[in-house]
Amino acid sequence: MYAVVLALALVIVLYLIGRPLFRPDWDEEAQLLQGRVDASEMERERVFAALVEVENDYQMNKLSEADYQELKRQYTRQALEYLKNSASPSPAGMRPARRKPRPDLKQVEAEAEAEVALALGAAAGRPAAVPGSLYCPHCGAEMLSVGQKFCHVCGRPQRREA
Amino acid sequence: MNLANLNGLGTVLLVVGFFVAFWAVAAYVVGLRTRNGSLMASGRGAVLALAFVLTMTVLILWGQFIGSDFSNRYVAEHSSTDLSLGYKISGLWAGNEGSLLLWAWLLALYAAVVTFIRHEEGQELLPFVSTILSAINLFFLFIVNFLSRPFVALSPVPPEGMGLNPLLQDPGMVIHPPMLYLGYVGFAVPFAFAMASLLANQRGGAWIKATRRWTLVAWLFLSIGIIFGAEWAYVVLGWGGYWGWDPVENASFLPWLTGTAFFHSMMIQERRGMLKGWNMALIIITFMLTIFGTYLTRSGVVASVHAFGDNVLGMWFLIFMLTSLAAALYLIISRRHLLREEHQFEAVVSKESSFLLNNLILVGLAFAVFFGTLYPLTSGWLTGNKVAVGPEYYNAIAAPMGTLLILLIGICPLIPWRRASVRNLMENFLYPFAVAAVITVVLFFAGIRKLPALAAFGIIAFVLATIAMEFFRGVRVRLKSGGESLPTAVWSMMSRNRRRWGGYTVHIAVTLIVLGIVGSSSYQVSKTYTVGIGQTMSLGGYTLTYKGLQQTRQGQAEVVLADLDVSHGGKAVGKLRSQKEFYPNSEEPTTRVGIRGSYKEDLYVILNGWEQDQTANFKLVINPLMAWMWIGWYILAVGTVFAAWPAGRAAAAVQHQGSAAMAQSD
Repeated sequence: MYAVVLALALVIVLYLIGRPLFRPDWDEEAQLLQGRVDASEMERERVFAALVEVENDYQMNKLSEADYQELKRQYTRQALEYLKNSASPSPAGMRPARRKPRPDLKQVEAEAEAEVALALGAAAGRPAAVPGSLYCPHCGAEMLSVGQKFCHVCGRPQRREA
Repeated sequence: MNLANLNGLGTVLLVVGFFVAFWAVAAYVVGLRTRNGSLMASGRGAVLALAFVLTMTVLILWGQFIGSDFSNRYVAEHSSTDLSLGYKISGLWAGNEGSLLLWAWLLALYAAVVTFIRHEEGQELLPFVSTILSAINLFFLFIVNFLSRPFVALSPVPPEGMGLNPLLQDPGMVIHPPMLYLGYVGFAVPFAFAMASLLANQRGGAWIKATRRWTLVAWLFLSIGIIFGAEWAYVVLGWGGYWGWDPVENASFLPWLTGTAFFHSMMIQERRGMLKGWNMALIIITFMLTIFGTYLTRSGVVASVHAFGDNVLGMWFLIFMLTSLAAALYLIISRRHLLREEHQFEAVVSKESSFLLNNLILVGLAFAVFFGTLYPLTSGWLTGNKVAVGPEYYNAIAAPMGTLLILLIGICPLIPWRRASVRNLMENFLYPFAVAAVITVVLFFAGIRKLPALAAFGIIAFVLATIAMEFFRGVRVRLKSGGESLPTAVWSMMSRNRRRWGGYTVHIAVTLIVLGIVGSSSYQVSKTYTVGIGQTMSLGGYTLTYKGLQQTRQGQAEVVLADLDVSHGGKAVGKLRSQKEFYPNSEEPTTRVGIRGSYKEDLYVILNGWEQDQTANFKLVINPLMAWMWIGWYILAVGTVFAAWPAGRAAAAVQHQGSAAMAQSD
């Protein structure tokens, strides 16, 4: 009886191990490796997080007015850079270029400023979620407003990538 | 190998497990090198197969314990027919062979869960992570196949087993060891992610994000394991304490300390891209310390109530530890360009610097405990005489460092990231400092005159006041924004920042634990009495009347019970029972103390001995504020679960922003 149990266990083990070997089109694992997150994306997240933290710290009376203004200016500048860059052609080795035509730089800048303002507003205590709104397809964050062009969390455009 | 019985089946399955683990490593390594998806998928299947095979093996061993199958030597040595079901199940981890199998099984389960669940970050690291976890398990499977085999057949089969070690016959046995193992093994996951990020040449901090929750889970299990061990010692060992700085106790405390340091410093990398090398070093040290704990328990290099003592096994663990350490260091050195800092400290006073200070204290304390634990070894090598350090050494170090840490818990939440201005700090510290000062003065006039205890209570008040202030300010900011009722504002504030508020809850818990430690250690009183039936003893307002002894049988044990009536301030408050248990397989009786607990203090009664005429000797102890220590540990568990719990989608937005998510939690 124990030999039968062993044989059944071996069949299951061989099935789990052997099945992918007989399916040469198995590329799920290889695809995993291609999904690497670029360090610059993490830096972009950090900049947006920093903006919100600065606002929060100010609201909680942990930052002086001067430090708050300086840090806010510094990180807003960086956030704008990232948002502008997200509409620029992707350098080699980075995320693939998007299918849709790139928007005008001034328009991007205006939208970026609006997004930064929205992110700061959320940090200031305004409700972050708008009922019925969408979620960011990249990071899952709930949008601050319907029709938002850029995610206030990860900074990526709200159009799905090609 | 005889397949006609369960020992044969278990043995073959362990061999199968070894080869499956080997295949997992080989398939992943070759698959990664050649970018062959099929091979990697086969390795992934092997990870699941290994979890399946080892689950079968563990179920077989449990079946043998429950069925009292003494044809298995391990079962015969650690069980008997009259043991209750809980202790029979606990037999799995009562000895070397079973506990190492448990380790391999848990690691296989962790690996399967890690490999098959979807990670928001670091998903691309999984092939490397699975390879590393399987490689670690290969070592444990080598041990249970060749050195410490749990399925050795006995012939002739004994009619009865030797039973479970009497000291292990406590409900703590059912929870304490598996929780510790879940914690130890759990730290293999962040270690594997860290090594994977180096192997994958990742510069970003994806591994940090991917392992935050895994680290908290491992830390939570380790915390629960430690607290159940302390409660067990408090109730059973009967010396009036809960922590004896035993080498194996220290072995569980060491990774807890470095693990605590790690999940604080990982926030700096997450937020600022700093301390990358430090984080790598911390998780490597934490993982090595989990193996070191196993080495210490099994090698017998230091004397301990927990040790199994097996020199050959100890040597293999040492080899594994050194090999893993060498491989990890090689990876760090060869890929050091990936660990370059992205930012520098902007100011001396900032949350980053306070985190760094917290890390230095935690690691310093870990080093001091490590040094003390190994002192018998090092002194033996250097002088030829093995000298052990006592609790005085550890207490002398832990008390000031612990005080500093608690103080930092109070200070950190009030310091912003990047830089702090003196004026804001002064303003923020004013109310908590005032609260602490008032409470300290009140306590002084209430009779608390021991300076260290008074200082500790003042610092605890300061910490609780800072957290309360953070809470009220946070709620006020939300209420100001309008549209939310008070309960909604509180809930949305907490649920949108689980890390932050879970962290604060853990900090409240830590202060309660310290309250219990300080109260019980500074104001413990004890007295020993020899009394006849009907005579009374008194201590700290309690009067205990001795009612006599009873003898009874509980399972294998002959039990002698002493009954006492307890009154406080002249009013009867209940009965207490203290006992000694005599087991046939042990020369020394086991003590089970009688405890009458309240939020103010524990009355703790130890039956030391008795005479033929039932005259009995008792030690009475009063441990003030003990209950707060246990309450603190349970709150710590709740806070950790709250922090680790996945945020809802709406909350994820804010959490992802890191809008102070934990940013102000320390």
